[in-house]
Amino acid sequence: MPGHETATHTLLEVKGVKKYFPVRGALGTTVQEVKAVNDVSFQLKRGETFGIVGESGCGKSTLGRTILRLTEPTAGQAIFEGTDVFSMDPTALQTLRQDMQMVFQDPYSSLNPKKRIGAILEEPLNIHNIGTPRERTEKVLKILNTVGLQTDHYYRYPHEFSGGQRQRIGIARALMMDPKLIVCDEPVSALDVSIQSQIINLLKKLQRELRLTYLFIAHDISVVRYISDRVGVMYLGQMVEQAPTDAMFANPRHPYTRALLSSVPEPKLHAKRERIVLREELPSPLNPPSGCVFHTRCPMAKPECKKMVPVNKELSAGHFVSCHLY
Amino acid sequence: MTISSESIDLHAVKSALKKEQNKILWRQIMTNGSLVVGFVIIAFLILVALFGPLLMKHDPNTMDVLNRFAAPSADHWFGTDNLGRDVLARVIYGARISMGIGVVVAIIASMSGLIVGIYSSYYKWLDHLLMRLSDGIMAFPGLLLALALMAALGGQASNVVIAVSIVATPYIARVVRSEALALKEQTFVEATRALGASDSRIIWQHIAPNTLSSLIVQATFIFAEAIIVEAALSFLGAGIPPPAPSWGNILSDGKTYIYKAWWMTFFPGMTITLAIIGLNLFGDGLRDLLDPHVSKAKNNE
Amino acid sequence: MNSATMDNEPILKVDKLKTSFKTERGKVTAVDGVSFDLLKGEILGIVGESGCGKSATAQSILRLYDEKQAIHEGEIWFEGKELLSLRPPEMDKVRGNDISMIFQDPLSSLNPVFTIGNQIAEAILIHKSISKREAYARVLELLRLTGIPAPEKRINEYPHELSGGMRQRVMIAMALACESKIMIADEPTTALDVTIQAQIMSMIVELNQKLDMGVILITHDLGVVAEVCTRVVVMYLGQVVEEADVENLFTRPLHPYTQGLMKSIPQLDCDRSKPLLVIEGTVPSLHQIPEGCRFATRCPFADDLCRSKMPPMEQYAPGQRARCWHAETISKKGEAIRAWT
Repeated sequence: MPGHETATHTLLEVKGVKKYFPVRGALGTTVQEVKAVNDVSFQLKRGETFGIVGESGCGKSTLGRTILRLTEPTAGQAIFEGTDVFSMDPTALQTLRQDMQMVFQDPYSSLNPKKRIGAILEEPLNIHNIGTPRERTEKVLKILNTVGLQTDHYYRYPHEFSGGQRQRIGIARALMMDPKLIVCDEPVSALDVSIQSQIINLLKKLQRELRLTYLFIAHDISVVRYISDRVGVMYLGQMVEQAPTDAMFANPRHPYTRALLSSVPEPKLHAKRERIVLREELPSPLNPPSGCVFHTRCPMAKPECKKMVPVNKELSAGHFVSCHLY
Repeated sequence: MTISSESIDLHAVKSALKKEQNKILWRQIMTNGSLVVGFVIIAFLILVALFGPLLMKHDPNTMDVLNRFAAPSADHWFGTDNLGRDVLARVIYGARISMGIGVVVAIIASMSGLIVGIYSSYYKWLDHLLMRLSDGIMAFPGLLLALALMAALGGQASNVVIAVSIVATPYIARVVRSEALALKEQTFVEATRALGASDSRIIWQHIAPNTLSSLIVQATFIFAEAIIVEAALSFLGAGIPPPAPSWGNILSDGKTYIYKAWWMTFFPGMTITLAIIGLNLFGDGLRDLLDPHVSKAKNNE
Repeated sequence: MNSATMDNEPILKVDKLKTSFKTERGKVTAVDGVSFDLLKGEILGIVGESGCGKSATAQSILRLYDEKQAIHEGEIWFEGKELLSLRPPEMDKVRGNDISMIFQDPLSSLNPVFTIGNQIAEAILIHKSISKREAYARVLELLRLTGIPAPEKRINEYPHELSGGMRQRVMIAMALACESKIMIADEPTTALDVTIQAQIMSMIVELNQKLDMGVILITHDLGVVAEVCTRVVVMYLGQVVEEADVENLFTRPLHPYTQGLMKSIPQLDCDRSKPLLVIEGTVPSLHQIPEGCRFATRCPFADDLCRSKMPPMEQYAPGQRARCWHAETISKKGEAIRAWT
């Protein structure tokens, strides 16, 4: 049965992706580099949601943008359905954009304030010359309905909508070209708590109905856990652990993952658990620590952690960790 | 959900919405004091410039030597000048010239400033080049530069337009550039790139329209500046060649006779002042109308 | 945690506070008849989403708004003084001294051109006439108290040289500078990473206990509330809709909004296959406040009574009040589950 096959088919394979931002000195030469994404690899299967969590400076947003080539990668490969996105020429990349889209964090600046919603949503179809004008309008109306908005919203301007509604419009825009992959970059972080669940439910519903694949980037761990099939934890540009969601939360292996999960405040009484406090401060990505990037703060650091970069090992089915403890 | 029913629905929706949006806009305009007053003044001056000549009884160039230096009277509302010409008629014709130049300069400077500003913001190497050029132009006091250009190009109305446009362009370019730089960082620009839009599409369909409000406001100020610079150039004898009654020329004629015939400088001076005040009020009102549009909307959340 | 409510006098009493602003679209009442007490030694949480008026309430307590734009009504009692009627110089003496405040974004709350030592010292010197040397000694003490390592070095650093968590500690140090009796914390950890958040929150709890300082914690994060607060006030669209001990709030929330909020947040152990509970609709604009109960437009239990008459705050259990006509019936488990799922 076709559905069964696509469930295990790898849609995107990210290999050794690096993104460094140069810091220019007085004469324009590169003095230092911000190692925002520093050798990240993972696989994304068709129809699944891969969640990426991490704190500020971990590089998760940069990773999302790099995969879509919104910013040029420094190294690595992003193989989408057999072709490496990073080595595509501009024309091929242009066509690829139809398959890979993004939903952005800030609902207030992600829509052109001077354009009507209809125009904003038709634009992707215009850019790629898809359909006749009438067909485009039809499609926009259909998608507006799909995301829970109304037909008469077609002629309104962004400022007439609330944050949650604008985010729906952003999602609608990403859906216009029937993409296969959607990178969601903190899609609910800027929304009120009571609206977040609306959008999360919408995303899940769309995934089922349209067989979408999500790369879900967020800092809210509970949300990521809820929506993702697999989760990756990033720290200072590297993916220190990745596993199927249940496995990750039931049995986090990497010390950073454990510390992170222990810090999440839970909205229930007497949820006090052993909080793992990390010492020192987050190092600067200009100068990441040698060896294991986490060793300066790790409560279980050993002498070798400073000297050698840990190898990414598969501890159990699909559960990968980069740590000298294993 | 057939095609025809959707398109019928849409048209009705569209006109209803447009009506609603226009009503809101109208209310915003009417409650804006500066805008209304400025507009009235400018509209008045424009109407006078366009239709005044038809209503006047005197010709701006007819010399009535017997009636020189006549004080303002029922026949000559603004009096006559050193050659017996009706000052009112000259001022009205002068409006055509001076304001005409002002409008043309504003338009030319806007277009060139927009192009320079937008491309500077988008391409770094162009930015360095164009901004240093602009800095060079702005380093000179506008009037002196215009004077120098007029000396090089020769005294003609069209050269006045060229000279003042060159002087004015950098100011608009700077404003557009700073708006565009901020806009470039907005998420919607990145989102449009993610859709596969080309640079020129992003520049002209997304960034440029969002700079228009600042541009238009600046343009009204350029209009005002252009009137002043033209008047100054003509006053100094480097502008529109006489006997064309540009406001500057009228002032120039009157400067020697200030004590004898105050009306020769007073009336053109007041008219210039009125035009500048009108334009500045209009520009301020426009800025209030257009800029907080986005921030007000944010406050609605 | 605190059961001796008999000798627990309120140190701050907010009584029917109303704060309105004049805008181009008419008068907007951001805080509409809010009343609550802060008892000695407790951490009171004020929870709500954007537009509920929680920050406006905090800013009104300290009268931070420009009083040409903002109109206050009601009373705020602190140490026998009614704060809203104090003359500005008297109010200045209260601010930063008796009652202090920390804000959400520590980077913009600190002046970038002065060292942090300078800024903390300023907080002291405004209110106490001591020598500079004494003030700086106190600054070092405060930096140690707030867990900033190597304070002698940090004292000469500028805000941009510190991390977000450090900056927030500096803000807290400034708030403690004059041994305030009350600290108002307005979303102090929202802009911080979750691991840092945990540290800052535990520090606030420690300070509350060590210094016997009352804390008003404003947040939208129910997780933080559950961990740290003793009592909670829930706000919606300018009003208090529920007030309870943290125990009661989480075991038996009375108001449908509170229930909805709690159920719609994905928790670390929730069933991932079930869709999240959703509170339908959006928060009405403050310019168009609905008739009757303000939550009726989104409440699954709303009926005609709710839509026509505003419910008053009623006590339904010891220490627990709610603004709902049907709180009694809803609290019976069956009703709640049926309507919300």
